[in-house]
Amino acid sequence: MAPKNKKGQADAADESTSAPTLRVILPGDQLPPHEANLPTGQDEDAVSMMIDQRAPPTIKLGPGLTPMDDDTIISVKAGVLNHTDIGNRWWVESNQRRYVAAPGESVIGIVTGKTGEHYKMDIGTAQPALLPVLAFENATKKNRPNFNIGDLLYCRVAMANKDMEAELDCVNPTTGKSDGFGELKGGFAFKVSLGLARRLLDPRQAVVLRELGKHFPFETAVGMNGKVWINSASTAHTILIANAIKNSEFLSTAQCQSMVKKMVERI
Amino acid sequence: MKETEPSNNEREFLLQALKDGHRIDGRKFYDFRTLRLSFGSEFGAVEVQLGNTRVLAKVSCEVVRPYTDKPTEGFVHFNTEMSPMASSTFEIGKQTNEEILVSRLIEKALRRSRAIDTEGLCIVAGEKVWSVRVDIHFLDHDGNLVDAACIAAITALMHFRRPEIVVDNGEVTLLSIEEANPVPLSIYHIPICVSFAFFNKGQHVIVDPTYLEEQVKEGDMTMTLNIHKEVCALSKAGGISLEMDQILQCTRIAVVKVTELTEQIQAALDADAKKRNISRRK
Amino acid sequence: MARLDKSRTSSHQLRPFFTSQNLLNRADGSAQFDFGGTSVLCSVVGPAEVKIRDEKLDKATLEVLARPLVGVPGVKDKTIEQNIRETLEPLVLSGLHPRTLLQIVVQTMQDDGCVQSTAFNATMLALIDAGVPLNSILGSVTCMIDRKTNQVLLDPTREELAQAKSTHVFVFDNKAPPAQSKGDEDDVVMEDGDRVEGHVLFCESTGVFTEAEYFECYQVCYKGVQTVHGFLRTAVQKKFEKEHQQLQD
Repeated sequence: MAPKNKKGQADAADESTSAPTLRVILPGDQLPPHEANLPTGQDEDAVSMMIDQRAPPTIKLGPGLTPMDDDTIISVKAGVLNHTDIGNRWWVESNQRRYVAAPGESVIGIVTGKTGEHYKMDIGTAQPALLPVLAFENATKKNRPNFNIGDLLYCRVAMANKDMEAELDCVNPTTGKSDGFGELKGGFAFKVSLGLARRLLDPRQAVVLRELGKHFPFETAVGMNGKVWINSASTAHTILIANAIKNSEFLSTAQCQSMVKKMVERI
Repeated sequence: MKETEPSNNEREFLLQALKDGHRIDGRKFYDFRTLRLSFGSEFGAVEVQLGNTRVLAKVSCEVVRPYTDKPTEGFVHFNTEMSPMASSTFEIGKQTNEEILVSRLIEKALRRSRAIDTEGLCIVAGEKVWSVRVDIHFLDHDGNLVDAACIAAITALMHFRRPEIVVDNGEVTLLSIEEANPVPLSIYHIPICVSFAFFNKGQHVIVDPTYLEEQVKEGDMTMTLNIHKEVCALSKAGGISLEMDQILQCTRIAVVKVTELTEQIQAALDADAKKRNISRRK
Repeated sequence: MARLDKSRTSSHQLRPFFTSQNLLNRADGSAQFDFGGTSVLCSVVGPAEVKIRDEKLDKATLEVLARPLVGVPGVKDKTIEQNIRETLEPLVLSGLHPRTLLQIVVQTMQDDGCVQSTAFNATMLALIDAGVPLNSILGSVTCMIDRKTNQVLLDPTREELAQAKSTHVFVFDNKAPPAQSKGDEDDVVMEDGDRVEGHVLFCESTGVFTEAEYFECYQVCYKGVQTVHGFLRTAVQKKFEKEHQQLQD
């Protein structure tokens, strides 16, 4: 069992050093047991031995992976299989357009309603999310923020589970500071896929933002719910930035650079 | 399903951009989005893409009995039921106002403008006529469904071929494609819809609005013209009031747009006919 | 024995496939799937807000709408709707999104036989595109038995279907049977198309046929579905490769 496992790890290591090939998996595909450093289940003795003699191999499953009854791990989403050795984490990087709230994520929402204690927010989920009026910096019962229906707010998902409406906040609960959350004034907002939003937030991959930044200054806020807000000195620039971001989704770095260049030249 | 209205930021930005002379997608005020026409393998099937708006039109026909008061007239029907595919605001069996308006406009533009020769659909007077049916499927809604649907319907009708028939002592026999070349419908003129949207109290007029522009607009107007500069239909259902001059201005724009679109449709049909000829000869 | 469809030489040959994903901008997921001259477009919206009337407290509500190319939806379309919904129900992990709606619209774009199978495949791809959690994927093909020659024809055209004694629609999933997955260590399902064995998720047979004929159809369709699964995988792989180009550069 042990040598086999070592071999498995060596294989995985080889793969990570060679050219980064994408490992796309589909729903129903199993996480290869030897790579996940799991007991393969073929040999009951080996499994019990491992449990007895060593710490059981722990594996952390991120989005898109689910353990089945028979100890196998399957993917429930189509996407790129990702792994990091720190904590033996595995997850599937998928892409979709519909947002499902997850705690800690920053999102951009539209105020759709107001009750005594909450703002009702549309963040693209099935049910509207709730934003307590007290979840703002320096907000008290007497000094509460006032927003109108249709205003854009940059918030964080404070609580989310599948059975309840998500709860948002615009304040860091430990420091009481706004941390940049709050109302987004002016500018323009539009929707992109969740995958593109994640890539815009990843400095390694946000080629389009880097390229645009070379030409003119602008402000931007990207929500994990696929909503992107931008503001710049002129409407023409804002329009160009919005369209460049939308165009960039399926382009390579070189294509992206020439696309931005062409658009800037035309203005 | 209800849908959230665009945010105040989007609204204000769109209006400000118009004041600065820009549209959100980078178009000029009087520009149509890129029009793409693709034909199916059968006659009378056309998919129209106007930017992100997509419409599929399919023409079919059958032999039916005419009405007794109009024994020599065939039928042309339009089916414009919208499914939630185009937008989840549409529901089956529950017509939205938008849906009714679009259906009526298409009916007016194509049927009531007598674009299709219904008498030419007669086979045996009082006994048998052709009934032509145009199914219009809305696949994706990014604004201006009317113009896209109208282009799809008329192109499909022009592309359509009905089977050749032989009448012998009142007996009607349909001939298959192998036996005889199918026959095109006789079409008098090509009506094309051009939709306008108005902003900032009518100061700004744009052509071919996107969905966001439709949500923010203050009023709209749809003009139906043909290439001979004849107005077939004009619809201004509510919204802000316009001055006479503005309407005349719109007509002048529409004339140019109709010429452009008709040429594009004709070119697409010619290209398709050429392709079919080559494949048949093989 | 030559086929009526002159473009194909073998009775067990499928027509050329074509797919396209993510082509509608308003839907959460969409896909088109073509078997030769048959084409179906499918859109998926969800998890979205559900009407109180349809709300289920422990899982998502699945709604399927089938739209014919010509005319208003009839009994045939209702049957397809129900078939797709009931086949998908065990596949979709609807428990992850309780009190939501998953709305699927299937629109026939061109009909040259085998619309139902094409609709199944288009729906599958649209669900993948929408990122709906699934425990496996399905693939579908149709075959028929010729009235005169008693030959099994895979993926018949409309012209060929007119000569059919019976027609059979099969849907298989891509799950590996548990007994085999415990096999050797190299059982990497990802790269290994041949080893994946599926279960029948749906089967609809009409007409007159013998037991032997039925099992022959089963075999032929099973092989056909493997090709479909492989094709779906390639289609999804290509899409992700395109999306992740910037990381690779």
